[in-house]
Amino acid sequence: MNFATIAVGLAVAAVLVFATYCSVRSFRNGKCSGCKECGKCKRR
Amino acid sequence: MDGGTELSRVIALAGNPNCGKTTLFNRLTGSSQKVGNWPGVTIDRKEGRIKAIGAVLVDLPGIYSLSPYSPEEVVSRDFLLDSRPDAIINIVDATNMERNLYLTSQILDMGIPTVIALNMMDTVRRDGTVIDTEKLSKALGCRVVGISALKGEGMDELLEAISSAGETPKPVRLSDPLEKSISEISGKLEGKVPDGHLRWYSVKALERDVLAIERIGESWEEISEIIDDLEKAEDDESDSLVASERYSSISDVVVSSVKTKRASGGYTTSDRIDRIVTNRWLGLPIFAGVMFLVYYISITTVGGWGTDWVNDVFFGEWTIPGAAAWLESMAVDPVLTAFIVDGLIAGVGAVLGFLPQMLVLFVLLVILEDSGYMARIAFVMDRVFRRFGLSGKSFIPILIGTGCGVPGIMASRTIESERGRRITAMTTTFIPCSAKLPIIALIAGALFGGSALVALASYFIGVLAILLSGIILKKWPSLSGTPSEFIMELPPYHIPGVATVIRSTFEKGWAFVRKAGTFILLACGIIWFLSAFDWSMSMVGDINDSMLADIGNAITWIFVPLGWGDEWQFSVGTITGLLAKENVVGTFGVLFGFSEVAEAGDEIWPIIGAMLTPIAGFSFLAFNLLCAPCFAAIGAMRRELGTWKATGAAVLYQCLLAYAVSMVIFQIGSLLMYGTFGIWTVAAFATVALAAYILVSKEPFARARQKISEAAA
Ligand SMILES: Nc1nc2c(ncn2[C@@H]2O[C@H](COP(=O)(O)OP(=O)(O)OP(=O)(O)O)[C@@H](O)[C@H]2O)c(=O)[nH]1
Ligand SMILES: [Mg+2]
Repeated sequence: MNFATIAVGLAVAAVLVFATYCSVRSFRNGKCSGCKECGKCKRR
Repeated sequence: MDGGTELSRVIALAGNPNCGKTTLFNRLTGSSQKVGNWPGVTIDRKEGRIKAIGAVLVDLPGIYSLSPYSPEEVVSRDFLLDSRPDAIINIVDATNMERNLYLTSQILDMGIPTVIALNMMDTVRRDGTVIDTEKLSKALGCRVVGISALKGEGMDELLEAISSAGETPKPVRLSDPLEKSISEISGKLEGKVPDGHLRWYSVKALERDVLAIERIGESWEEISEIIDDLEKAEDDESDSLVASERYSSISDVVVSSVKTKRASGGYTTSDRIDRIVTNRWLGLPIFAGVMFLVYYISITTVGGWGTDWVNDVFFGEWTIPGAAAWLESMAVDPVLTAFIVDGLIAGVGAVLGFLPQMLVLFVLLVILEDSGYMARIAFVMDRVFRRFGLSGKSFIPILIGTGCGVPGIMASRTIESERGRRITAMTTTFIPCSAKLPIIALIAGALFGGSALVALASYFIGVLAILLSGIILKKWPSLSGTPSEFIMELPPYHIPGVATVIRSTFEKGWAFVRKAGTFILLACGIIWFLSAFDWSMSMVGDINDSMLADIGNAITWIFVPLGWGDEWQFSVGTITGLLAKENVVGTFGVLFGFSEVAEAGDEIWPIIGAMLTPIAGFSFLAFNLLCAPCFAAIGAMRRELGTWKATGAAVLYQCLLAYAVSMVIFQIGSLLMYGTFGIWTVAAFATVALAAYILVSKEPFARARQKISEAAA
């Protein structure tokens, strides 16, 4: 495994973790789909 | 609320529906909540910060009076009563003073410092009306500031007025006999209700307001006598006495401070347009024409060109080959490269490819909503819906549902009748939401030459499903009853604000991109993994040997009668669509090799088109539009319906209906087009017959009814 693979792999992993965090956060608060029309996302 | 907000002043925005509360809220707090030119846009309270004066502003649903009829009106009243904001900005639509001030007179009773914001001053000025705010302010006993929330006029003065508002306003005085009864009631209530609200409770008790009675509790008996005496003396019901007195003192105020130029009675431009677009015969055809034009612009032409460019050039020529070449040049492991290019980029790219079409559609829909046209359609639809046991009010959730099903389902709260509310919450997601739009555009592009008729047909199927469900569900014992009356003001037309259109389009577009970049990205990663490996975790050469193929093949037989069960990929797409409907397209991007296709210089969607007949494609589309919505919408349904049992039943109903509709489309369509006939053709005809029986029969669920009553006994 070369250096580039490790670097890219880490970057992708970070993106996926962040994506998971965002998805979980928006789904946790009242099963929100993140459409923002109801304003729930903004209310925090 | 966190510690910081607890210390700041809380200011509530209260006013009639459609008077511009949310427009002002957005302007003062920099938020971007939904604005639309019809009453009942806002259905829940929202908070924001006014940075300039360090206060918290609360936007509330519009109300006509403080005696609410539907759940979202209760939100407003309860907030004003129970949370006791430090001050109220009462927005008054200056083009409609009498009706708006009726609410004002009730708000002033609450004893909370109030500033009146006279909104829509731009329109007032254009009409040549002159309003003397000084006089108005004297007559009402509180600050009055003329503003235009849309244009941003008068904001500084308004902010200054709110920050200095601290005095308890003086209530609008009614006639002596009424005032005498009110003070008698106040005497009884003293100490039993919060001090500041004494007058408000007394007046509401005088009106025999249900909620006030509930809160007052045992002392009601004595108060009732006071009211009886008054009613006998004045020979009228107490609530109409109060209402007519309020109106007469308001009209005195209005007469003395407002000078209109135009003699009333003539037809306005709005009236003239309405005569045509709400015409009994022309209304629906005009609506169909308008929607066709909307889809023609967004899907077939302008938006379609954008989508072609994003798919073919941006992803097809730049991103995918570029990323692949770059990763290869750095000698990144081929499996990781495949994961990124064939999984993440292909999946998310397939979804984002539809962004241009969505943006154009958003712009057009915001224009229709904000101009006031959609409110007319609710009115036109009421005539149709009524025959199917629903009221025009059900159209508003449907309208909002075209953006996203979740707020659409929540908007069913504006419907007064319990059964109408439940039926609407169960059926709103039949209308294609924006996440389903990529599926529509995909099928239209792949099989129907990008025709706008496919989108129109999808919405038509959605509305039809809602109407048929109205009849079917009405016959279900627990949901029977007649639709409630539909009364909705038709707001005057106006040219949509450019800022509103841009902001709203950007918000929706950004939400779409964000979701594609987070949730859809994850889903595509998982789909790729399942489709690239077999159960022993070794990479497969042929996708048909993968884990996903096994999973797909285990369920795909279910969909064979619908015409698209032979290829497992379509079934997998349908299942992943339950997480979020954008996933259907994302899954296809991964499974049908968007990346390889792009590198070979081909276009992906025609390849999918070649796997299905147009009829099968349309059946696939119909199934995905009607079957269970995404999890988020199911969650919203659960909140409105109250129990998981009812929600489960609703989802089951949706899936069965979707299956029946798709089967009928495919089987009977194939029979007509290609002359294919088989056992499933018979089943399709049987389904049609069954549906006809349920629609025509008076009590098709008699057995179920019996069972329920047996269970209850
Ligand atoms: N001409 C003009 N139009 C305005 C002004 N303020 C708001 N509007 C329009 O009035 C309509 C209603 O605005 P909203 O802010 O959604 O009204 P709302 O009071 O929040 O309505 P609900 O949430 O339904 O109670 C929109 O079409 C606005 O563009 C104004 O100052 N002048
Ligand atoms: Mg609003």
